[in-house]
Amino acid sequence: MTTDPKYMITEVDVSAGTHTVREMTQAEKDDLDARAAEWAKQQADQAAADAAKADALASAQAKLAKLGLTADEIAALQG
Amino acid sequence: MSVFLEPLASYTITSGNTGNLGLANIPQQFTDLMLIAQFRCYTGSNNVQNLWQWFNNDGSNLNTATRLWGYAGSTTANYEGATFPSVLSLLNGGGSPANTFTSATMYIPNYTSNFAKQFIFSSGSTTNGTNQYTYRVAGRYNSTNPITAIAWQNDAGGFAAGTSIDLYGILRKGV
Repeated sequence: MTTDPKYMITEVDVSAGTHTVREMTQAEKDDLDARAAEWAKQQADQAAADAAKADALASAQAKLAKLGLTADEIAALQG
Repeated sequence: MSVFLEPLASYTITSGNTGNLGLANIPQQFTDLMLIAQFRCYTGSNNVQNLWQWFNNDGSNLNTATRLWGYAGSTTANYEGATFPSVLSLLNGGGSPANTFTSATMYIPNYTSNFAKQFIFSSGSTTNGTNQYTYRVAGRYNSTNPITAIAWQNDAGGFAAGTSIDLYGILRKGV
């Protein structure tokens, strides 16, 4: 079975001046997967936070418009 | 004559998709390390992919980083805080023009210290055109262990031929 390239590493031994291509250890694979999962979670959390912020902004703009504020006045309030 | 800048390692990938890339057994007799590199993903449909970095095969999330980045298609500068611990920058993906890379330099002062280590990373794509990014990262490796290994990974699962890393040891005067 061919190892997924993402679990392979070309490692340069700086002291020895050699390099090897090896399959990562299980611990290294687990670390790599954990980092990727954390990254994906951060991205998802950020996207959700951005969406919530955009929704809140749209809601606030709609309420201000109902009060009779013009688009320019709403923009001025937003600084 | 004292040695103040010594080439420690030079490696160029000649056949792509050999997975991640790493430096191990880094000598400890210098004060600082400097890396000059060019990266390109082996595959990936996107023009750009994330470049990841970690020290000492350390699975714990001990990196923090502040990133400033820009996009050639926009005049807006972007800022991100410490929530992207291992992702350094975007680099040329397999979908970018042939033979183009993301050039990068990194400086690590006091890499043998028993305190947290600072690193300064900057990169920019060599591709002509607008779909390209530049990055400046101020990072911190929050470990008491000296840095003996550094590794890189990209989202596309391998680096392309021509990807290269050159590591230098620096001996600062008076240290």
